[in-house]
Amino acid sequence: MILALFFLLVSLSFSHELLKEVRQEGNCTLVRFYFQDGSAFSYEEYEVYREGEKVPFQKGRSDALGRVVFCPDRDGLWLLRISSQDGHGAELRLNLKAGRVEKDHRKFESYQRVLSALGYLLGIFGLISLFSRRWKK
Amino acid sequence: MHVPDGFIAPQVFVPAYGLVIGLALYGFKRFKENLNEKSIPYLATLSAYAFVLSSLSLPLPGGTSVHGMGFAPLSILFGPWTAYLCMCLVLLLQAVLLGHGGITTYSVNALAIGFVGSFCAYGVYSLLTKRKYATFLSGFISTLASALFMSIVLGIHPYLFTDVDGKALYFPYPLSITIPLLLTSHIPVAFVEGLLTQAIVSFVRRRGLEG
Repeated sequence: MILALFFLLVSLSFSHELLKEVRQEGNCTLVRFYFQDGSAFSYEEYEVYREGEKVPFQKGRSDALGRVVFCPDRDGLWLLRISSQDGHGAELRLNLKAGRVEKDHRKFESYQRVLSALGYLLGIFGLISLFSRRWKK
Repeated sequence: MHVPDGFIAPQVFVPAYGLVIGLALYGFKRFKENLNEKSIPYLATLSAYAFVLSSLSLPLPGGTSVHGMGFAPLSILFGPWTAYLCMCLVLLLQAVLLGHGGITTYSVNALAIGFVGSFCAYGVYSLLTKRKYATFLSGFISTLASALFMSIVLGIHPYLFTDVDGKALYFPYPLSITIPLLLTSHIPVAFVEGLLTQAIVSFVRRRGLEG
């Protein structure tokens, strides 16, 4: 019962983490932004920059499915910045020469990560407990 | 409320790092002086509660979401300095291991959630301690105070940091957008936070486990 409740909480717990999926579609790059619960990061403002440039190569809003598509005119490092008004968002560096396909954390990895983090947290308090007697002397 | 990398200017997050570390060192000194060994398991449990609560999201229309923070029970039961240290630890683990909030923006997140939240929770509770709803209001008001602080930090960026054309270099939305948006979106969170704070504090006190 407790275990079920824990995994229910964990399954909810990453739903506000902004994730991304990068794909090459012909000569264009498609980046989809979404939350862990599957909801799209839609209609949020983004800007795309070439490496080292301050004027955006492209700007706009993500579409209803949270997608940003741009067609780069050269290989190299590209910067994509997307943000919502409440501070959610991401800054993504894409090496388009590599043309790699990336997908962020799978759900199982999220379970592992939250368990690891809770383990570290409890471990740190365990260490505090060990050192507390020395501090008191 | 965990702000990601790239939205806060170095002119803000670097001094904020200095402030966070300085406050943490002072807080650790206070923590060591007042440490009660028996309270450590409860500190660990309430920190784990804060960790889970600040990872839980409440989806909002438009694809975004808000979350609770869990600092109020720590602050009321163990004092604001201990709560601040615990929240610094929670936020650090979330940033490093889970990617909740950026590494550069950790300092601002720690100030907003850890410092402002913990001290506001303690202050409200101390002021209203004889009142029936002191614990609830402590959780409620401190959550909104934390959101207000973050909205101000984000909202001042378009005024302070622009390029020659007047374009925002970091977070692009002004105070007129960030303050109403973050405050209104955090009202339901603050309400739930207040209820949970009341429930946890009364549960711990019933068992005489206060630190």
